[in-house]
Amino acid sequence: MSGVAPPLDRRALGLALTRIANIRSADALAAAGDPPATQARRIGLTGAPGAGKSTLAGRLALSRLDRGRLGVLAIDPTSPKTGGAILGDRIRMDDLAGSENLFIRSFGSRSAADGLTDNLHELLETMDRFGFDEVIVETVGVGQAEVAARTQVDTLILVIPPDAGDVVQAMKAGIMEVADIFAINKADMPSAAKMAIEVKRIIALTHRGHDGNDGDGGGGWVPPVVLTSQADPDSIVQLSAQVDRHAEWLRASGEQAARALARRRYWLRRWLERNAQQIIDREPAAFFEMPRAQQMTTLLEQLGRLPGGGVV
Amino acid sequence: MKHGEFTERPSGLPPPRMSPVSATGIPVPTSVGPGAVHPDHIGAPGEYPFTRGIFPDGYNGRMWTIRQYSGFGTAEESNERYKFLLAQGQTGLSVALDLPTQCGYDPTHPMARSEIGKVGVSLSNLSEAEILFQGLDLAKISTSFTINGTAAIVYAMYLAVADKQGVPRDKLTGTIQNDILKEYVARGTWIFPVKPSMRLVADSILYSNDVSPRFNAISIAGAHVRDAGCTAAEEMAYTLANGLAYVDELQARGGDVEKFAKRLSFFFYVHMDFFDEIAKFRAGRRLWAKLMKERYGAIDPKAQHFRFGVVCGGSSLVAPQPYNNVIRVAVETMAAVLGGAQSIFTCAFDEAFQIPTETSAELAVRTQQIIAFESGIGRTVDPLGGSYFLEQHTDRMEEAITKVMGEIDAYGGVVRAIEEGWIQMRLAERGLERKLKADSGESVIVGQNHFRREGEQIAVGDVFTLDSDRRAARAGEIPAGAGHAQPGGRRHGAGAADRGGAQRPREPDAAPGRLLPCLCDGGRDGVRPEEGMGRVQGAGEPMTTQTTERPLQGKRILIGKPGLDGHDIGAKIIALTLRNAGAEVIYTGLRRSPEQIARVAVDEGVDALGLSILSGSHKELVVDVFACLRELDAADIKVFVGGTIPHPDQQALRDLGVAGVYTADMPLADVVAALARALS
Repeated sequence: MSGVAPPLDRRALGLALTRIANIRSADALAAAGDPPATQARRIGLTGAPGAGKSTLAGRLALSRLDRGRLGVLAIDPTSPKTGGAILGDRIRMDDLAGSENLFIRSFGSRSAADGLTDNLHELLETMDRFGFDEVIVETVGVGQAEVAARTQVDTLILVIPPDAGDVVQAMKAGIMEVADIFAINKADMPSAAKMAIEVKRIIALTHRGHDGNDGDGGGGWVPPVVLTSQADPDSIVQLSAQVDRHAEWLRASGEQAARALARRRYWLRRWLERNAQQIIDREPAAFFEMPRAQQMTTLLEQLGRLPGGGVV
Repeated sequence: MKHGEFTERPSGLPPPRMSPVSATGIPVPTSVGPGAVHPDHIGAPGEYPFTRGIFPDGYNGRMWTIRQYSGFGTAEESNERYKFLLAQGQTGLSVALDLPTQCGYDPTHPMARSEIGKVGVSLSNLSEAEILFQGLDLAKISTSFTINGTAAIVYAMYLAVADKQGVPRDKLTGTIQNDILKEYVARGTWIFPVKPSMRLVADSILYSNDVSPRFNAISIAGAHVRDAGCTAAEEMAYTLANGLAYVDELQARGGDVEKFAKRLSFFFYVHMDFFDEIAKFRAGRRLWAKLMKERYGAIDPKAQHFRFGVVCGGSSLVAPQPYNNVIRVAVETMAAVLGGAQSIFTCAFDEAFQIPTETSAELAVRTQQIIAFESGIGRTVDPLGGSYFLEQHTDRMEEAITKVMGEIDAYGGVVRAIEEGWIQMRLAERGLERKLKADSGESVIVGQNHFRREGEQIAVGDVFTLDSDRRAARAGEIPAGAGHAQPGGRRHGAGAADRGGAQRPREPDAAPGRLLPCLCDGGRDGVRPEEGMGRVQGAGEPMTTQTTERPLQGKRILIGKPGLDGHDIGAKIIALTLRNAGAEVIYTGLRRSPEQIARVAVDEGVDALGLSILSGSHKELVVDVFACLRELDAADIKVFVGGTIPHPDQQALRDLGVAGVYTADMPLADVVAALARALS
C-alpha cells in the first residue's frame, strides 16, 4: 500500500507529535489546517482497565504490519493531581520494536475526560500527513470512552475480559452501538467461552429487534464476537480478518461517509466544549451574577476572539 | 582518613531519634514483663513448631556454612578466586553468574556484548563449567548458584561436571536458587511467562530429589523484595506465599510432600533492625512448620523444617563513610546467628560502590569467623529464647506476616498477584516510601543522611577491574560447532537438543512430560524450551500521589533500562517521582538494547532520557546509546544516568556528554530539582 511513500522521518514525526500534543485548545483551530488528502484507516481498541488492550493492540499491530506503514497511539491516564503520567503501555508491545514500518507513541490523557487525549484529532491528522496506512488507537478504559473513541476511528473493537459479566449486562440494550467488533480476551480462561456466548446472545436478541435479517447481505452490520488470546496467534488473525471485513462493509454500505461527517461534527463540538470550559472556569463569581443572556454573549465574544475562532 | 577530625556537616535534617516502632512497623514498648510471653509459644529447640530452631543442638552439631558471593570475568579467573576463598577457610562456594548467563543470552548476542563477565562469571557452555570447577572436588564442597531463569541448565551442567570428575550425583551438595516467582517481582531474570516457568521449577526440583537428593534444587528468596524496599514482615510473607505456590505446583506435578519438602530452602536479607530480624526468622520458622503440618499434612519433621540462608548487607550498605558498613555487616550477622540461619553470606563493605577487592572480601569472611569462634554467641541454641521482649516481638511479627499473607490470598494467590502486577506495585510504593524516609532523615543512616563529615573521600582501596582483554578474547573463542554462534546471535537453547548426547525430542508443551531428563540427556550445555512460549513484562503502575508541585509539568521523560540487569526498583521509584513532579514518564521495561532505547526516545519525542544502570556496564552502554541517538539525528535529547556509578566514573560519564549522574543516595527532591533546571 505504501510502496511509494518516502522513508518515515521518525525524528520529525516524534517532535511534531510532541508539539501538537502541547498545543492549547485555543490554538487548535489555527493549527489544524486543512484535512490531509489521504487518511489512514483508524482502528480503535477500548475496554476496561485490565482487559488486556495493550497486549492485544500489540499483537494486532504485529499481524497487520505487512499492510504498510502502521502507527499505534496508546493513551494512558494522567494523574489529575500532579498532571503527570506513567505511560507503561508500550512495555506490553515489546515484540514490536524494530520494524521500520511501525511507529508506537504513548500519550497521557491530560485534560481529556473521555478516555482520549487532548488534540487526538490533530495527532491523527499528523499521522495521515506522515503517510501512515493504518493507525491503531488504544484508549484509556473509562466509562464513556467507547462513545468518544467511536467518532475518531473507522472500526472500534471493544475488549472484554472473561469475568466482566456486569459490564455486558449494563450495555445490553445498546450493545450494537457500542462497538463494531467484540473481542473476548484472555480466551485461555475457562469463563471466556461462556462470556462469548452471552455477548453473542445479546447481539442476536438486539439484532432481531432491529431488522430481522442474518446480517450477511442486507445493510446492517452485526458485530462479530471473537475469542482472543495473546498466546494464540490464530485468534489474532481472526480478529484482524474481522477488521478487514468491517472496512469492506464501511465502503460498500456508505457508512464511511456518515462516519466522516460525524467525525467533523465531533471535532467542532470538542473544540467548542474545551474552549468554552476554559473560559468559563476562568470567570470570577461576579460573572455568574450577570443576567444569563449577558453571560452567554460575553462567552461567545470570547470564543470569537480565539485564534481562528472568527470563523465560528 | 585522618583521625581527630570529626567536624560534622550540618545535615539540615531534624535531629536523629529512635523511633518507638520497629522498622517493620511493630510498636516496641519501653520495657516488657513476664505477662507478654505465651509459654506455649516458646517450646524447645528441635521441637515442633521449631520457633527456637530446627536442631536441638543448634550450631554445636554443625556450624553455619560461611559463604561468599563471588564469580566474575572468565571461568579461569573465578576458579582462581574460588581456590583462594577455600584456602581462607570458606566452606562453601557461592557462584555469581553474569547476566547473559542468567537471562539465557549467548555471549555472541548483541544484548550480551557489554555484560559478559560483569556481575558474575560467564557460563555459556559445558567446557566453561569444567574450567570453573577445575581442581575443586565437587564431593567435598557445597556450591550455591544464584541462578533462576536458566537454573535447570546450570544444574544440568553441574551434574555433567560431576559425572566427568567421577563424583556420584548423590554426593553433590549445594543449591540452585531456581526461585522464579521473585524474578518477576524484583530481580528481573525471568525468561518465560509465570505458569510454564513454575512447571520448569517444579520439574527440576523433582528430578534433583531423585538423582541428587542432598542438593537443594530451590532456594526461595525474600532477599530481593527486601532489598527493593519492603519490610521484614513483608519479606517473610511474600517468601512463604511463594513457597506455598511451589508446594502446590510440586504436588500438582506428582511430587510427594514428605520427600520434596525436605529439600526446600529459603533465603533472606538481614537489615539493621536487630530484633525485627531475629523475630522474623523465629516467626517464619514457626509459620512454615505449621503450614506444612496443618495444610499439607507433612509428618516427617524434616519436611516441616524451615532451613534458610541469609545475606548480610545489601541495600543497608551505603557508599558514604564505607567503613561503617563493616559494623553493619557484623550487627546483621549477629542477628542472623541469633535467628538460627543455616548459611550466611556477608557482603563486603565496599559493595555499595564497587566490585569488592580481595581485602574487603576477606574481611567479610573474617567477620563471620570472629562471630562464630570468638564471640561464642552460637554456643547455646537460641540464646535469646524466653526473652520477654523477643518472644512478644516474635508473636507480633508472626501476626504481621500472617496479615500480609492473608492479603495475598484475598487477591487470589501469589501467582495471580504477580501476573497482574499487584505485588510489583506494592513493592514500588514501599521502595519510594523507604527512599523518602531516608531523604527526610526520619530513618537514620549514619554517614549518609545524619552524621556526615566535611570533605570525605568515598573510594577506598583499589578499584577492582576486570581483565577485559581476556574477557573479550574469550567471547570470541567460543566454538561455533557447539551451536552457540548462531546467525544473528540468537539466544542459545533452541538448537541445543541436536548437539551431542541422546537425540530425544523435546516437547515443552506436553503437559505430562517432565522437562529435566530431557535437559540433562540431550542438551548437556543448555536447552531452553523458549520457543512457543511468550514473554510477559511488568508495567509501570499508577499510584497515589504525594506532591502537588509540578516542576516537570509538560516534560516527557523516558526511563530506560539498558542491558540485562533486572533490578528495576530504582527505575520505578524514579519514574513515580518524576510522574509526581508532573512529567509524562515512559518506562521501557527491562532488557532493552541501546538501539531500542534510542528509537523509543525518538518516537516518543521526549525531552530527556534517563538510563538506570546497576550492572557496572554504564560506560559501554552510555557510549552505545549516544551513538544510536546520533544515528537517529537526536543527539540533542538530554541523557541522564542513575544507578550504581563509582565516583571516578561519574566524571567520565559527564565527559561523554551525560547531563547528570544521580546515585541512590541522592535525595529525590534534589534529583527532581536538578532535572527541572537542566530541562528549563
